[in-house]
Parts: sequence; structure tokens; C-alpha cells
Amino acid sequence: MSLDLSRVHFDRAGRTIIDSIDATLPGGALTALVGPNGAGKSTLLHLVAAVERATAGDLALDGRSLPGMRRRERARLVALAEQQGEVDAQLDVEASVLLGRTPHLGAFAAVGAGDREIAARALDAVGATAFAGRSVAELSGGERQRVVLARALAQQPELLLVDEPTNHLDLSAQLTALELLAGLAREGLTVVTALHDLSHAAAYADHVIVLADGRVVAAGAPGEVLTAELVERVYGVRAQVVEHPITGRPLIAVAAPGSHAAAPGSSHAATPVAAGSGAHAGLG
Amino acid sequence: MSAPATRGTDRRVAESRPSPAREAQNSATRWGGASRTLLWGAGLAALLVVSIVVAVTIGPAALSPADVLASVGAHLGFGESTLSPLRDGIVWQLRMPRVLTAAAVGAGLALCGAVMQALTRNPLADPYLLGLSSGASVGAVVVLVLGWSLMLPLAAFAGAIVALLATLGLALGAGRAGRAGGSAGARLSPTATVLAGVAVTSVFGAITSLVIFWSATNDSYREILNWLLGSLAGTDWTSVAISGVALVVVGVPLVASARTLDAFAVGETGAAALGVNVARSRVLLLGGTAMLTGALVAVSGSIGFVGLVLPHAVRLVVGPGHRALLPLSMLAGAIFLVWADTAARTMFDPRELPVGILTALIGGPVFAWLLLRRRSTT
Repeated sequence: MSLDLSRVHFDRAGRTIIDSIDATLPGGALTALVGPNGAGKSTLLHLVAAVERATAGDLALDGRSLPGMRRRERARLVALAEQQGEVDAQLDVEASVLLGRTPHLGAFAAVGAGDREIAARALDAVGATAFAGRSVAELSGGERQRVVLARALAQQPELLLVDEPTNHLDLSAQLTALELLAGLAREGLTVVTALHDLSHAAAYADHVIVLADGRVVAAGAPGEVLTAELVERVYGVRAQVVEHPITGRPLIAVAAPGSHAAAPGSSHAATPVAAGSGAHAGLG
Repeated sequence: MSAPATRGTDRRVAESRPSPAREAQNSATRWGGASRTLLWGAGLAALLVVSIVVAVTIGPAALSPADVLASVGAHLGFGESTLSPLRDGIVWQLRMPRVLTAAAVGAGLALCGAVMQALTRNPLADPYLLGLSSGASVGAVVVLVLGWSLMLPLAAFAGAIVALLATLGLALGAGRAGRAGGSAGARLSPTATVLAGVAVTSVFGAITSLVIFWSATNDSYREILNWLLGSLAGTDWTSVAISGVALVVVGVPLVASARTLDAFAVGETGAAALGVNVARSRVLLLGGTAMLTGALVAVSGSIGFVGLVLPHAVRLVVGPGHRALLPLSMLAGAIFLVWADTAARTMFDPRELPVGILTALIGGPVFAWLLLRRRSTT
């Protein structure tokens, strides 16, 4: 299901956070939202999930206005996995994931076998089946993040919004998380994720939207959008797009503005490729 | 959009299927243990009925459970009472309304505590600790002094609302003040909320005492103690009606909101993304707890810690799901207060102890335990 944003605007406390954005996000694809801290990535995801209300404009999923829908109906279509999704430490993992069934359950209906099955599949999908019975309090940051994602999947949405899925994850877990999102998109789910690492966006996204100061700076296929010139302009860093030696995908090498190439063999080489891309900045 | 052919890694997630053992274990976990909940519910309900009957027999005039049942039966229209009018009066006019009020107040306070803990995401929330009870006391005492006793529950509700707004406003203000630069979205910290509750309770407690002292002629100290510490002395069938009606009218919608309360476990943003109308739910549910607290305080004064202790005790048994937690907390709260009040009126017979002293004696250590536990898990 494609997502259409038309003139979406959002002010908070008199400040414009999202500035009349127009964008079309393809259905059944992985769209990456990239941009510097404070560009409005998380806010845009919150507006799509209607966790916050756009000041003006409309957001439509396959032509149906999201803000105009009833809350429960919308929550059956759109799920949000937060960056640091809060989970009550008293819950066990399965109970936490079962909360994703909330929009599907009536006020008096008990959680049924079908719901448990869906929760089990969601845990399976994020590779978290092994700790289904554990208390959330015992989990590491990365494990919690998977539980938050599993809860979103248990909502059985058509549109999955994921804020910073690689935050707090080690290198291997970052790739696993991105593989998972790309795989979900291949299966037909529309996935929108805020990412800091441009090389991740280049490697995994089908569509990239670059945000800066609440505006869309560029949008399109990663290979066309993520140019050295754009990265330098948006982030104020030096950038060069090279070919990934293993995958052949674009790799965005960045360096601080004043950096110069060091002599070969020097231990003070220029900022390593793709590092400093903010995967650990955690400020969204 | 075509998916890129090559990915950065060929790692595959999600290949293992859950084992049968895991499935069996999952189905027995806390969230959906419906039969377990029913079993506990039936057990506690039976225990409550037995507690009420036995509690009525306890006191200076010796009565047997059979006497109690005979009297109750007669008043409900099943046959003639076999008791003397005096003994029948002790059962029906003195002890029964008091025990039933204790049950209703205990159930209501436990329910309010559980709901407030979920909404404020604060394990230390309780109508007493957050100042609602003291605000309700001011409202109740003022209308009693003015002689407008018909307004009693309404005034107590108004007092509880004012106190709740004061506590939450103060806690939010403290949250903002404690954050340099004033970033958006101040949050209610449990500690700030409890501290704000202490401040509000002090002020409203002082106002209650002043109003009583100013108006009363002789025994104002006892009356002040009864309001500040909570007491069920002097309760009658009107008390049963006020607390019982409030419990049904407010309690039923609160219990029916269990799923919404569950969703608050994932925070406000998370709950909103699950389809919960966070702002409206919070206003309605907190308003409901204030209303219920008002009605309960109007008949019993500020009995503390029932709303703190019982929900936590029940959670240890059935887990945090509110569909089980709310009704079982109510039953446990009712049983708890029936026995606490029975102890309060008999321990120092013929003198009465305000029952709030006993609930604080038990609740204080539980509060301390919760503080220590919070520290170890966060």
C-alpha cells in the first residue's frame, strides 16, 4: 500500500518541525528516511502513525486518509516500532508482544489461541523466540528492540514504521535488523524506517527520502539520491560515493570538512569509511 | 520497486520454529491464564463472603455465624428472625453496615490504586499517597461543617479532583524545572509525583484539621484523627449506599477499561500507536478514580496504602494483565479492609483504633520494599 503525504505540516510550540511535505512512498517497498538530527524523521513517523496530529495536510494510505480513520482501525493498518520503545519491565516478552493485538481485540474479548499464534510468529520473525518466556527487565537493549519490533508485527499492519532500527545494535545485529525489514518489504509489507547510516540506506532501501529542516531535500532510488554532492550539502561533511567491495552497492564514505587524505600506512588515517555515520549517536 | 539482488549479508533470521515445549509453556504464562484467574476469583469471592459473616460475629456481644445468617435472612425477607431485637440490631444496624462499608471501601481503594499505577506508570501511585484522599477529606469536612450533607460525595469528589490536579501539576512542573533547556514533553517521574503528593497531602490535611478544629465544640481531636487516618467508626447503611453505589457506577467502567490500561504499559506514544485515545482515556480514568476516591473518603476518611499494597500483592500472583488484576485486587482489598477494620475495633476494646493506622503499619513497609525494588530494576 503506497503512502501519500500532501502538504503535511507540523508545528510544535510555535516552531515548524515538518514544513509542508509532499511525498509518495511506494507500497511493498522499504523506504528509508535519512537526514541530520532534528530533520524531522521521527516526527514524520509519528505523524503517519497519528501519534501526533499534523497541523495541516493529509496522509493517505492507498487513498484512504489516515488522520480521518478511527483509532483502532488505523492501528490495524499502521504499526510503529519506536526508537526506544518503552516496555513495562514487569511484562514478560510474550505478554509485551501480545499488546500488539490490542487494536484487534474488543474490550471484553480475551487473548485467544490465534493471537498467541500471531505473537509467536512475530517473535519468530525477529529471531526472538528463544526469549519469549523471559521478563523484559532481563533483556539487553538489542533484544528489547526486537521485542518492540515484534509487537509492531503482531499488529499485522499493512504499513510498518520503524524508527532507528539499528540503534544500540552491534554490527551483525544491525545487518540482521535491516535484512529483516527488507525481507518484510519483499513479502509485500510497506516499510518506512528512519536511518542514520547512509550506506545502510543505500544497501537496503528501495526508496530514499532525504529530510533536512523539516523539508524533503531529495527523494527517489538510493543510487540517484545519495550523491556526494547532496550528502555534503545536507550534512556539511566531505563525502564520496564508492562501490562496496563486497556487495557492489553504493557506499557513502564521509569525513569531517577539514579532513585530508593521510599518507598510506599512517595510523591517523582519515575517518574510516562509513564510520561516524551516526549509528550510535542515538539522538534521532 | 525492485529489491536489490545482493544484500550485505546472507544471514537468515526467523528460521527456527517454536518447539512444542515452548508453546506449552507460553500458553501457561501469565497474560492469558484465564482459568487460573477464575479460580482465584472464585476463591477470593468465597473468602470475602466468609470474612463478612465471621467479621460480623466478632465483637463484645458474642454472636455465631448462624445468628448472622438468621438476621440477614430475616431482613431480606426469608423467614422470621430468631434473635432478640437487641442482638438483631447489633447485627443489622451496627456491625453489618460497617463490615459492608469496609468491604466496599477496600475494594474501591484497591481498584483506584491499580488504575492509577497503570495510568501514571508509577508503581507507587495510590489515592492516599498522591493526595486525592486528603483533598476529598477537605471537601467532605467542609460540607459537613456547613450542614449540607447531601452534597457530601460531590464535595469529596471535587476535593479529590483539585488535589489530583495539584499533585500532577506540581510533579509536571518539577519535571520541567529539573530539565535544563526545557525540552518538549515533560514526563511524570514517579518520585516527583510522590513528593508532590506529600506536599498536597500536608496542605489539605492541615486544612481538614483547621476546619474541624474551628467548627467542633468538644471532641475535635478524635474527629481530626478519624479523617486524617481513616476510620469506619459510625458507618451506617447510608455509608454502605454511598460507597456501594460509587463502586458499581464508577468501578464497572474502570474494570471494563482493562485493555486500555494494559496498553499504557508501552508508554504514551506506544499506546497511541496501538489505537488508544491516550488523552481522553487518561482524563476519564483518572476522573473516575477521583470520583470513586471521593465517595469512599466521604464515608471513611483517608485510609492509606490499601490501593498500594493489594494491587502489588495480586500482581505477584496473576501478573500485570489488568483483566485479572482489577477484579482480583478489588476482592483482595475488600477482604483486607474487612479484617483490618475488625482488628481496629476489637484490639483495644472498648476504645477504637482508626483503621488507617493498621493499614499504614502494613503499607509503609510495602512502600519501602517497592522503593528498593524499583532501584534494583532501573
